[in-house]
Amino acid sequence: MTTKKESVVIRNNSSATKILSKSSQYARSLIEAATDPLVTISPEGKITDVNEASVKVTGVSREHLIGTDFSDYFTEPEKARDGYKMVFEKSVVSDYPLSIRHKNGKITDVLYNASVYKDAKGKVLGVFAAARDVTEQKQASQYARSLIEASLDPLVTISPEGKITDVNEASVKVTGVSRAKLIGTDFSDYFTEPKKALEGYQKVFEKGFISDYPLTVRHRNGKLTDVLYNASVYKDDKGNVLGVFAAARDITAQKAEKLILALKELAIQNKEKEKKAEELSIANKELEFQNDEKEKRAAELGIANKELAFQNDEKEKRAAELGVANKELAFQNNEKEKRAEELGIANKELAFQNDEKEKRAEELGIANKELAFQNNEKEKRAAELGIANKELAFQNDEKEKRAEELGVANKELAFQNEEKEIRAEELRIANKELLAFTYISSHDLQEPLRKIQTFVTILLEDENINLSNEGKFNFQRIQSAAGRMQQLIDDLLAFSRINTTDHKFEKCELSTIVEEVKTELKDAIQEKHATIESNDLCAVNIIPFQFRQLLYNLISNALKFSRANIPPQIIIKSKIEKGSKLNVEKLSPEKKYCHITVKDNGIGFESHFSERIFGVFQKLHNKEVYEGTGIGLAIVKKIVENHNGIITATSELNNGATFNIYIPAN
Amino acid sequence: MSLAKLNVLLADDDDDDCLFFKKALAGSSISTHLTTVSDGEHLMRLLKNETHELPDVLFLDLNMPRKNGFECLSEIKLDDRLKLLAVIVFSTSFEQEVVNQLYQNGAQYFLRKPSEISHYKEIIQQTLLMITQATTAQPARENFVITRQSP
Repeated sequence: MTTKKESVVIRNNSSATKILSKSSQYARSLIEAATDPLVTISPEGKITDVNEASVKVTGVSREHLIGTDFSDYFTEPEKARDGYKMVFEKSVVSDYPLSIRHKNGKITDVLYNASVYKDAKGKVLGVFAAARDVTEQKQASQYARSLIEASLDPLVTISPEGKITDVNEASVKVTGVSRAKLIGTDFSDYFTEPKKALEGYQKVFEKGFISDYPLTVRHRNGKLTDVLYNASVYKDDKGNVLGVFAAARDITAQKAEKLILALKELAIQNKEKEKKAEELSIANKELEFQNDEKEKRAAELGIANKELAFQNDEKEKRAAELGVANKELAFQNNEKEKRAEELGIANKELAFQNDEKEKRAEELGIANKELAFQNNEKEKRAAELGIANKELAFQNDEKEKRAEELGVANKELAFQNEEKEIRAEELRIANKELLAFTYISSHDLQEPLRKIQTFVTILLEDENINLSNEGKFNFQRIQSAAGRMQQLIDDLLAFSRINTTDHKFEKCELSTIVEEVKTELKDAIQEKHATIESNDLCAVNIIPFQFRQLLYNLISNALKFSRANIPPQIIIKSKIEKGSKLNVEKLSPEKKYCHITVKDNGIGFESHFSERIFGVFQKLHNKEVYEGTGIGLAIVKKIVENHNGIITATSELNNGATFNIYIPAN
Repeated sequence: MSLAKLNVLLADDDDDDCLFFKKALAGSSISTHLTTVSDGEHLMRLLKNETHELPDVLFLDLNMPRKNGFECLSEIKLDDRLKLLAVIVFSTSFEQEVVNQLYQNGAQYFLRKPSEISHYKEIIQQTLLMITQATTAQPARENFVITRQSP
C-alpha cells in the first residue's frame, strides 16, 4: 500500500523525487509509521496529504482523500473548518475536539493538535494536523463508574440546579433511600442543615472545588452521620461545567479516636494550664486594662476608618475629575503661553504709551489746579441754588396737591360724561322709535280717511236730489276737512320718510334738479306768471331725491306766499367758498362749502320768526288765507341736516325772503 | 271680446272696498262678471283649481289676511299655468319702493285707490279698456302706474 502511494507521487512529480532529501524521506516514514491520523491541509482547506492511519479512520483511500475538503470527514464540518482557520490565525491549536465519521458510519472521537508549516522564506504553505483517538479515554469512564460504585464513601453528582444526577451504593446506605428515588431530588434535602448543604455546592460552582466541608446526613430512620465533603466540578470535552462530583467521608469513627487522645492530652495540658492560668490571671488583669484601652481605641479607629474610606472614595472621584481638568488646564496653559507672548509685545507698546501719559499727566496737574479754583466758585453757586431749590420744592408740593384735586374733579367729570353719553344714546333710540311710529301711524290713517272721502262722494252723487242745501254744504265741509287731513298725512309721511330711507350721495348738477322742479310746478308757475332765474349753478354731492324735495318745497313756498298782483320772481344762485369767508358762526373756517341761495319777492315775514318757521306744524297764516300744514320747511331743514349743512332765513315783512343753504363741498 | 263678458277676479278683504269696486264696475261701459275672494289662501286655491276657468284679469289688494298680495303675486308668476294672468295691484298707499318691487315681481299695472267715487269709476274703466286692448306683456316702467287722466 505504502509503495503504491510512493509510486503515485513519483509518477506525478518525478523531478521533485530527485531533489527529495534523505531527511524528508525519513520524516515521511515517521508520518506513515504514526498510529495517529495525520493530515496536511492547504490554505483553502483542501487535503494535500494523509497517512495510513487517516485512511483507516475514514475508510477512504489516500487518492480519494487528497484534493477533497478536510471538513467533509467530520460529524460537524463547520466546526472542523473553524478549527483549521484558527490554526492559520494562531499558528498552533491544541486538543481541538472533533468526531471523524468512517465511511461505514463508525464515529471516532479525536483531539486535534495542529500547526502551520512554512517554506524556507517563512511563507505559510499549509497546516499539519495530528489527531489523537480518545475513544479509549471514553471507555475509561466506564471503568471509573465501577470504581465509584466500589467506593465505601457516599459519592454523588449534582446538576447546576442542585438536583442529584447519580449516586453510588454508599449514598443509598447512608440515606436509606433507593438510588432511583435519590436521582432527580434536591441534594440539600438529605441533610440536617439543607441551607448549609445548598451553600456548599453553590461554593463548588463558584470556586470549582471545596475541601472538608462539614455536613450531617439524616437517614430515613432518623440516624445522623457526620461527614466531611470534598467536591469539584466536572466538565465536558469543551470545558462546559456539567455538574458537581461530591465525595463524603464518614467521620463518626475518627471523632471517637480523636476524643480519647485529646482527653489524655487535655489532662496534661490542664495541669500546665493551671500553672499558666495563675500567671495569666496576673497578666490578664494587665491585659484587660490594655484591652479596654485598645477596644476604645479600636472603636475610635473603626469610626475614623469609615470616614477615611468615604474620604478616599470622594478623593478618587475628585482625582478622576482633576485628571480631566488637568488635560483642559494643560491645553489652556499652552493657549496662555501663546497669549503671554502676544502680551509681551503689547507690554512694550504700553510702556511707550505710559511714558506719553506721564507727560500728559503733568500737563493735567496744571489744568487740575485751575479746575480746583473753578470748583470752589461752583460750590458757592451750588449753595445759592440749594436755597432756590427748597423754594421750588415747596411750590412743587403745592402743585401736586392741586393736581390731586384736579384728578378727583376729572373723575367726576368722566363719570358725568359717561352718564350723558348713555342718556344721548337713549334719546337717539327714542327718536328713531318716534319717527317709525309717525310713519306707521300716518300710513295706516290713510285707509279709513279715504273711505270717508269716498262715501261722502257717493252720498253727494247718489243722494243729491234727497239732500237739502244745508246737508250738501255740510258734506262739502266734511270733504274739505278730510282733504286737509289727507294733506297732513301725506306731509307727515314725507317728513318721516326723510329719516327712514337710505341716504345715498351722488354728484349732481344743481341746474338739472332745478329744471325738474320747474317742470313739476309748471301749472302753478304759469298761473302766477312767475319767473325763475338760475344761473351759474354748480355740481354738488347730494342725496338727489331729497334735494329735489327741498327745492320743490322752497320754490312752491315762494309761489304760494307771493304778494297779490305782483308776479313772483325767484332767484337761485350757488357758489363754492371757504367757511371763513361766509360769515356764519357754525361753519368750520377751513372747510369749503356750497352756498345756495333762494330769494323771492313775496310777502316775507317778521325777522324774529326766522328760526320758528323751520319747526314742525309752525304756520304764520290762517289756513283760509294760505293753505298748508306747516311741515314743508321742517322737511327742508331736515334734508339740509341730512347733508351735514345749515339753513338760515332772512326776511322783512312784505319785502321778500332769502333762504341760505350751506352744505359741505365734496 | 265685446260679446263675451270680461271675467274679473277681485282679491280684497275689505267689504267697503269691494262695494266701491262693484259700483265702479257697474258704471263701466265694459260688461264684466265679478268674482271676489277675501284672503290670499282662498285666492290661490281658486286659481290652482284646474277645473275652473282662469279670469281675464285679477285685481289684487296688498294687505290681506293669511297670505298677502306680495306672496300671491310671486306664487302666480312662478306657476307655468298662471304666469300669463294679468295681475293689477290695487292699493291705498303709494310707496315708491313698494311699487318698484311689484314691477320687478311681474305685476301688470299698479293702481292707487282713489278717494272720490267718480275717480274710482274713471280709473277702473281706463284699466279695463287697457286690458281688453293690450297684450298681457308687462308695460314699460313709466307706464306701470295708472293715474287718472284729467277729463
